[in-house]
Amino acid sequence: MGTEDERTLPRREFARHCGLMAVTGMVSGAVATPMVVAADDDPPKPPPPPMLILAQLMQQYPSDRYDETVLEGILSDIQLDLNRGRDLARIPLSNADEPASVFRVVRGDRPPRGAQPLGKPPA
Amino acid sequence: MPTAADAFLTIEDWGQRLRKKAVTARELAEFYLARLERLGGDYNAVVTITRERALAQADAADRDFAAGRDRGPLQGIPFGAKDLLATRGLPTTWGAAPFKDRVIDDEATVLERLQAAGAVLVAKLSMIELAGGFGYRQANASFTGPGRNGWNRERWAGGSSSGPGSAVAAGLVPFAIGSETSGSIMTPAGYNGLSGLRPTYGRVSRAGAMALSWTLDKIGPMCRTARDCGLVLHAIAGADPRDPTCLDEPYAYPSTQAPPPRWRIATLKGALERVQPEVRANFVAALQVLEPVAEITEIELPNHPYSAVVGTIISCEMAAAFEEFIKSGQVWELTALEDQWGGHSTLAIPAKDYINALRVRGKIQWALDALFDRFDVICAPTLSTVAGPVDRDFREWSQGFASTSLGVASNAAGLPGLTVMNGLGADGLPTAMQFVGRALEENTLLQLGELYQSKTDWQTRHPDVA
Repeated sequence: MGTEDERTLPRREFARHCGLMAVTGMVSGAVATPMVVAADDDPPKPPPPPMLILAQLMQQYPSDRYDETVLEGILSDIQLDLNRGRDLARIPLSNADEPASVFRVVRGDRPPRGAQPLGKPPA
Repeated sequence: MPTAADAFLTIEDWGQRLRKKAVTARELAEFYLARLERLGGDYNAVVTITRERALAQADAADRDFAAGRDRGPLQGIPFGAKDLLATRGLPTTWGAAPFKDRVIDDEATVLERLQAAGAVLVAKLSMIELAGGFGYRQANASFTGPGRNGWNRERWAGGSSSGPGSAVAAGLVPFAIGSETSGSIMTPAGYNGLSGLRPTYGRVSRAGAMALSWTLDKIGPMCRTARDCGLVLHAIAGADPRDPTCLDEPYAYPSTQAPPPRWRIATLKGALERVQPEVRANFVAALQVLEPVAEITEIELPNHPYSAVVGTIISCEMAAAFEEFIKSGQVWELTALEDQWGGHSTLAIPAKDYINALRVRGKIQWALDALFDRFDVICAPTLSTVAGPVDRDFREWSQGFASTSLGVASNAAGLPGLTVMNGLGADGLPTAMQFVGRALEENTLLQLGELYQSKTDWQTRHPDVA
């Protein structure tokens, strides 16, 4: 489920992307002031999806505990999750393949005649 | 009064002594309370000793005996409960430092049923913080310290039901209640040489138990024998309006069903390839014990991404369960450093991945169920190795914990499993084998477990704990 290479980013690349995100304001989530790019430069590539997800997590769940070790660990987990999702998506499934989810109807205080209540409302 | 040699008696043994008046319920409770107080800390097995409640319950059991009221085989029997089961008026910590003093105003249905059966709660037992969902990689992942094995305190007790595993193994309680999302009954029972039963999903109410993964969590007994597991399951199984996933299926033990004329046992190809030599040898020897009464066939499990399905479901459900815990910053108080950040990525898994996991889960359920048209049980080593050092990263010694996908596959499908000790391995530590059966076929597993235990004596072995 993903190679070691796919699961980690070199530290230098990691730091470069963090810096890139800081410059473009992606971490803050703000719509960045359009970057001024020289006409003969290729536009900067966006960070890879794991980095974008990490940036979103950091914004939604801020903490002063996000050091490099922690962020690398979370990033690694994100990559594993993405790989796992891709593995699941490769399984042939038809529209008729429903989720194995639990759902049952409820009726509160007035069961059908002769029947027991099917459930209780949440507390 | 009981002596140290009596500490390893079974529920049945104690039941006989209680009814012969060789011991009172109060004496029995005092005996195990003393052992818990004296020895529990050596194994980091205890969170809270419930002395006052225990003596009140024991006295009630003695009054019932005196009045001729017999509630059944658990009456007067002390037990411990994994500390994710709520106990009104007493701390319920979930193994996590942020909750070490927290009292939940609720009583788990399982504990209510055990009380109604006359059992005596003597302790809340330690566990891996938040049942291991945050990705722990070493034994020191609980505010009570690393769970130490009942056979050797320098070895891990297994998780996440660490305290139940070592407490029963060391003779601190006759039985305990553990829980399993994926491996948390079978692993500590296996490492500690116990009989552990993971019931069918929905067999036992989860009301009042911490939810790690609503559609994967199961609660079950950890005992000295398969028979004791059946006695406990009889007391705790059954529908519960507080738990909408709890099945309205009758359960009774002992069973009246006749055993198969000849057991049809499936073993798994490759199950013995990545295990310690003693694990291999003991599994082969165990099959030889069963061969006179069984047809044993080697098969392969259907090809499905069991780990991806279970991993995705646990991740997504725990993200919902613990988002606030992470958001509040309490997560940074967890004991294991990797647990402090290990849950963060789950907050970003797309919904479609969860839905796809559930879709594949449905296919897994039917594929495994079809196997049980041909076989009564599927059998494999419970664990690849004996318990490893308590101070080492799991990746250094565990060989992935399991040598097959049977555990994760059977959890994906909600199937019952029984682990029993089948020998001693490296460094004199227990090895074990597991039986997995069709949904709701706990009694099939227990019958086979009892048969195996009638022909061997591993379930009578125990560490030398004074």
